[in-house]
Amino acid sequence: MDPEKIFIIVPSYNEAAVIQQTLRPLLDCGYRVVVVDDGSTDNTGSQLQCLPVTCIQHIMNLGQGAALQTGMTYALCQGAEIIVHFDADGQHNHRDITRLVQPVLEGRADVALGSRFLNKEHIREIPPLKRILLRLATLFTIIVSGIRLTDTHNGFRAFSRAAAQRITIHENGMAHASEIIHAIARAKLSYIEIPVRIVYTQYSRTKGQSIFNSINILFDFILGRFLR
Amino acid sequence: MMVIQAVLFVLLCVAAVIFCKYFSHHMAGRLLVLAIGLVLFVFILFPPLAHRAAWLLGVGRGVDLIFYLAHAFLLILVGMLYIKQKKQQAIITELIRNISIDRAHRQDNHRP
Repeated sequence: MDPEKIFIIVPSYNEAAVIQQTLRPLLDCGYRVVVVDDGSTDNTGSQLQCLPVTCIQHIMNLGQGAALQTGMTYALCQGAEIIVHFDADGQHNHRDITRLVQPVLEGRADVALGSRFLNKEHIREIPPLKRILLRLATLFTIIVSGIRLTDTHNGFRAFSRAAAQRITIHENGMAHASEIIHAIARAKLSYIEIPVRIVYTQYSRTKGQSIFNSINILFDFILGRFLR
Repeated sequence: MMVIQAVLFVLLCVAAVIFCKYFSHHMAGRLLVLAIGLVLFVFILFPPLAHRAAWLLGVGRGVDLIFYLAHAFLLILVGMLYIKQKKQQAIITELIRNISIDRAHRQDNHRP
């Protein structure tokens, strides 16, 4: 498939320090890159000007879930055949995209979800506390959605066009990860997990979610489900 | 009438006006506020009634009953405000999304 039909959605909030080094390998592979600048207050916007990417700017910070939905809506309007979610902080490896997209391209699955827990080496690289939290989040999602996954809060995902059209993210914040899994279950989409490596740099650890925020995410998801 | 009863009565009236204005398009909310206002009005004017009601409900003192009712009312209020805030957030998100995508489309059209 023409890599131009593969849209990589990169939600970005105050990532000026790393955004260029995250995007360059994606552009080298020929993908269509859509960066959603979610109301950054640093110079993320100016860092993007010298790159051949589509930059969609939110005039205020809404959250990663909202940024992903904006990117998906835009990509679908532009005729995307495959949509990939990719983090801006450099945690994801661009080489994994090919493996992630493959089952969707071949029609083996509507959605391919990255997982850190399918490869023993990858598991060892996860900080211990984060590992416990991720396991608990996975258990919670299995109970709520009935989908058996090994890593529900992995932001590396690929959707076919048809799947992306059937998923709408309502959760603006980080609860979108659970919401997406729930939407996959509700829409009865076929899915597959692909082992991916997440690189934990000092930068990404600083930018990552705190333990206390996981409680907020839990509340947002539960309340969101009941109130919608 | 004691001074405290007069003060509470005035505060209750002010609160009722504010809430009715806030729930101007929400009949259920208005009725809820009206019902709570009436109960409080009766309790302010006839304090022994609160004690009697508490005894009937097995709560203990009248002040305990009012304390529990106030908690329940506040919880309902917080819930209603949360829903309202979520709805407004969804509208703002949609607006910002439409504006930003529209701008991106215009930039695409101007690209060589």
